[in-house]
Amino acid sequence: MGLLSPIYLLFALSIGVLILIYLSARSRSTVEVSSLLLFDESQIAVTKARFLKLDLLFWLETAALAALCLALAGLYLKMAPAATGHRRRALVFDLAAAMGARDGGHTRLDEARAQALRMVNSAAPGESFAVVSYAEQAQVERYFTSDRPAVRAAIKALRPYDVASAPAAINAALMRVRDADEIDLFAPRLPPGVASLDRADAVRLHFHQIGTDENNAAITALDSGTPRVSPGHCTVRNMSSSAVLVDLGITLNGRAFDRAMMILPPHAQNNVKFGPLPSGGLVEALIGTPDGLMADNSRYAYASAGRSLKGLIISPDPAVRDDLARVLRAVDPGSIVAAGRADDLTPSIIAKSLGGAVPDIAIIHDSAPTPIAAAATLWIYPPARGPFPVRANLRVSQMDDRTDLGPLTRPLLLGPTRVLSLPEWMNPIAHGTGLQQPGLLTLAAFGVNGQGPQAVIAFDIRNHLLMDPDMLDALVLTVDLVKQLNRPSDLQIVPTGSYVTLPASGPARIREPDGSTIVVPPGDGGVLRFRPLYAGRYDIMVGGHRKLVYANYFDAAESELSVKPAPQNGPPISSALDLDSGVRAARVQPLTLALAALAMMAFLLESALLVRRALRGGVSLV
Amino acid sequence: MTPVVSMMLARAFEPSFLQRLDNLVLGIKRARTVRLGRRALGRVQGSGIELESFKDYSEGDDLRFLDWNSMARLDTLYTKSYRVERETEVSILIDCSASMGLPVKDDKFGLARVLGAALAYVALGENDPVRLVSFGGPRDQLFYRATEFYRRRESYASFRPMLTEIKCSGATDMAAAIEHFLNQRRPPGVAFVLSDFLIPSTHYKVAFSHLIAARYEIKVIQVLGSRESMGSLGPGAYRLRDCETGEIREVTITPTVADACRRRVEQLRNDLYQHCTANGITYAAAVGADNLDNFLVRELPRLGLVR
Repeated sequence: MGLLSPIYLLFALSIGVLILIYLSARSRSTVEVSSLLLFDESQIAVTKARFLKLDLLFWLETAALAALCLALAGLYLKMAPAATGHRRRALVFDLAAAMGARDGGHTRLDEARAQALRMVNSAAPGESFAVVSYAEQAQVERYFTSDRPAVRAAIKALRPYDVASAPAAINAALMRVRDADEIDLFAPRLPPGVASLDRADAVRLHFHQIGTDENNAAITALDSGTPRVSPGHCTVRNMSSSAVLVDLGITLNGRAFDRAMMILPPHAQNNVKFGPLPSGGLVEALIGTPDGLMADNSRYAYASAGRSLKGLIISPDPAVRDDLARVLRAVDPGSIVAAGRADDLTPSIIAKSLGGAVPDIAIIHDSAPTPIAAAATLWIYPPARGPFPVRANLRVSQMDDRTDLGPLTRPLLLGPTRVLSLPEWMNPIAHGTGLQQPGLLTLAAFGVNGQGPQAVIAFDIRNHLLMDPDMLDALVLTVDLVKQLNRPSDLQIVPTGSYVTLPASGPARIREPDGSTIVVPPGDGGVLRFRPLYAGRYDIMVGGHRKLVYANYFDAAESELSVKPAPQNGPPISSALDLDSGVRAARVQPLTLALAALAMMAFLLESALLVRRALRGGVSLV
Repeated sequence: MTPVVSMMLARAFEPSFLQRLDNLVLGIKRARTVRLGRRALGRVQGSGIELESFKDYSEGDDLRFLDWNSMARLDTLYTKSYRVERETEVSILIDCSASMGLPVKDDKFGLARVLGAALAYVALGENDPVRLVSFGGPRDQLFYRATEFYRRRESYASFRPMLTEIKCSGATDMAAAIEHFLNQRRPPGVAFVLSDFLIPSTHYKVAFSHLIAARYEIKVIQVLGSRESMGSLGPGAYRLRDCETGEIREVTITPTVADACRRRVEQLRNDLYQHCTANGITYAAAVGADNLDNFLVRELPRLGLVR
């Protein structure tokens, strides 16, 4: 016996109110009389000490209220399940990065697999299993089946990803197995979405906490600096509750450049400075000391080559041109910038300004496309006659989060914004909301097509928006996009789990960090789109060209490998002993209807008594 | 004292009220023929002024009453008997228990005090010694207070302080009060007892038996409130508390129960009346303060309490 929603027991306070009303009604009618001799004929017993006299109406109301409270609180009975039967059990696995952490000689997922396999092996005949996994998204590996070898194969085929688990993913996973009689969740910690589950679902859910406390150090950030100008920085954080030794190595284009040994106190971080780098190229930071999680032990960054960045800025507003030039100079102090209105900038003027070279980047603000070719293009507040169809013009919008960095510390209120129809090959970078605009609004996006890297910012940056200290997130977004556009076209550095788009005329062979190779056909529009789910280097051969994608992983919640006890109000926690002994969870039988019927009967009986009293003693007695 | 009570009591000293009492005389057995030379019952005042009769002398008669003139003329011995002018002590006992104060709107206590004062005024008109006695008080602690005897109507105002100061409280212990009253060893007289008599019948029966044994002429006036006699509580559930005993009873008043309560009041009155009639006690019931004038001028003469 138990309660599905104990919080609703608060309604039991109404019984207290009823008792107060009852006592108040009793005390109200106390009358002092000259003598009780006058009332001897009433033949009513003297009452001196009884606190709650036997008033049938009162007790009926109390019983009805108690029954209603218990019905609201979801009183249920645990019924013993049938020894054999056709029960449906769902095995839900967390495949986020923390499940890849090593506890001794095996990973947490190995432990989860072993528990699940024991469960499958000891299952009663006729019992069916489903295997569902989730990380960034939910995946049904095997729907309900009583084919044990298939279930075992599905369990054994599970692999952890180097991504964080999304709250929506666990909910989606549970939704897909909502028909299950029992749900066994294997995860290192109780996902937030599960803690807020409806109690009826939570009762069916059995949480198997996987893993033990492990030390872990992670590289949380890597900045290459500017070659020969400014040093780079690498941030290392101790994610565990004990001090760890960290051996940090920095390589430039595969050659060792710097090395640092440090002991990090619990939950402390160190910002390691290196360089300046002698030349541009791929910078990799690597923690050499073994720890619980390998995925966050390496990180990649790109240092632009020594040549000066040549930028072209087109805007009708001179203030905007000035601000954007400052941004380019901040990204590359040696950059050469040509700026002007679209009508004023002819190819000859540009060639003269940039020394005859093709611009590395063209930033086009609120202007139509120009015939001038550039290696990469950043569109800011593009007009309707631009490359992206404009669905609506907003006077005000708000930026809420970035896909690569997460939610902003505080929402950023922006000015005029255009709602753009973006092509599929572009990946959203920043989201927000607009006034009287339903749904999410894409405020910035990045992608690569046949014309090279393209990025777009949907909001206007007039009135020195980028230089406003209160609009720092807008400036950071612009700088990040400029840096991303300025990278070599055959090299991308992305966070794990994000989409990578590449121009492709045919199928691409992708060699993953673990050495396996997959073939991915191109999508619509000659664009290859895939998600790197493991940290490391992806070697892509497409159309005879080689392109490299480096995936960085870090998530504070996943990298924290300490095992926290599950909350008291969460679903029941099962141990390995339960699985071995074949103990089955009882079937839940809610008593809501029975209690509601009981309350209804009490009210009906009370009504009948009232009618009887009214008929016998008059309406004034009721 | 509530304003209602003050107004009620104030009437007892209004000239117009007293004027209506001027012509009334107490209906008491005042004068008895005293057989000279015998031990007479009651208080014998030696000789009177008014000659009643003659009789032959018999041995043992008091020679002081021998009619010497008759003997000289007729040579026969006669003794004279006189109608003795006797004064009768009138004691007016007022119940001051808590029950006399309820129901408050009925003002039973005010009515009892006015009646006591009126009877005292009438008694003073005959130059009889009159006193007021109040009794009541907390449980197990008798509150007893009495004025001195006054004989003239000019002294009527002397009763005012006591009538003003006495309050309703405590239980009615009538037997103890009467016992205390008789312990003062006064000659028997007339005792007016004013009370609601809402006590068990055995209590007032014991009290009356003591008075009868002491040869008192007893006049009982039962004072009840009009609401009390008709049932002041409307239909509903009540928790009743006896103001004297503190006993609590939970009662649901229905029309049936209300009728039963009215019948109970009538039964209590009838019991008292029956007991009084059987023991030669004059009984009168004063119900409701509004009926004061009617009670004094019509009811009391009808019952012979006054003439």
